[in-house]
Amino acid sequence: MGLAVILIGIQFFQPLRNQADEVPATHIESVYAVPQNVKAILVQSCYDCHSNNTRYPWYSRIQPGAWYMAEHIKKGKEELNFSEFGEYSARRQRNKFRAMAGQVKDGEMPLSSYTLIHRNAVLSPEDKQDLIAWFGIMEDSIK
Amino acid sequence: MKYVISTVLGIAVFILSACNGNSEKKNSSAETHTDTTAHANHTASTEPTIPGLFGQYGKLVSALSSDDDKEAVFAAQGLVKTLYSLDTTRFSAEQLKAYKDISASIEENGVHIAANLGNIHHQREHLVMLGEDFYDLAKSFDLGKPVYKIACPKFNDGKGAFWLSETKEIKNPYYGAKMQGCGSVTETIAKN
Ligand code: HEC
Repeated sequence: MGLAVILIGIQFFQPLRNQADEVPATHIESVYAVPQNVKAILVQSCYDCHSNNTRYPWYSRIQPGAWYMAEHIKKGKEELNFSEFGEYSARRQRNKFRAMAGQVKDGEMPLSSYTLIHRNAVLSPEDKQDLIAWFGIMEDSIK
Repeated sequence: MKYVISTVLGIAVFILSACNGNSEKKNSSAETHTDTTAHANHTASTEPTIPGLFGQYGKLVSALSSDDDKEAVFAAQGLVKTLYSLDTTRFSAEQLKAYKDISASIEENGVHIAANLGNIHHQREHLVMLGEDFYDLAKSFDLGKPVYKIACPKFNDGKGAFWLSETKEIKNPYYGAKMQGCGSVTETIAKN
């Protein structure tokens, strides 16, 4: 019973939501022409943790999962924030495109703990190919 | 109500356990922090200068060419430490501008390598980026001696990668023992 009280109690302590209203001028979509198919994949599989806009599913309101997700978003955005991509130096942008290609190729991203629940964020082999090809083009264009 | 609670609990346990794989990496990097004192001699002697920074990079290259992820962590920690204490007061305005851009990248890449004990593949990915940082650094600063750019075109599915070395000896840090001989000197960088 004590545990139940704690579990219900912590539901009232929700982390701040990661949601912005508009697409800022520094967003990757504002500074680069992102092909439609690539954009769709990024939105579906990456933006939740790597942009200022997370789409929160109902269960993300349930603690302690919400804290955990918030922690991922905080760390994820430190590493890579598509909403602020335009503010990065050319060197950092180039590094990030390369890191993105590597992470996708190795199946490291999106995090498996996330795709376990968000099944539609799983990348198909075609998705991976499309992403890696575009990341490569972008990396070379920034040299 | 009981069912709701157990469902919530179930999901919570599920999420927490699912995320574990990720936090393990962080634990191992914490572990290396305690180890560093024993290895203080790896880092303490380095001068906080651009040539000193190159020396740390050289240790990192050497560690990865020997497939030693642990030594790479120490070298990367030393690299970042040197970076933080580097004296920039004598840099020209132009050098300072280049240094600010490059050092931010060296820091980020160094921190990643230091945090990835047990994942040498990922350490090497960041070494590729460091190679470019140090190449640009060598173009902006006088190192007092020539450095060689050594390129291995095969690496990363034919995308290729290079590293910098004070000697012409080929000991590939991206492949290690698997293909240590891949590489040839493509440029000698010397300032005068
Ligand atoms: C569940 C949240 C989450 C999702 C979804 C996610 N990431 Fe990440 N990402 C993270 C976190 C957290 C980190 C920090 C590193 C770590 O803890 O593994 C990270 C780190 C990264 C890095 C930095 C790695 C490096 O070596 O510099 C890149 C690049 C990256 N993610 C790309 C992506 C891409 C591309 C996608 C979509 C295909 C994606 N991520 C989806 C959470 C996420």
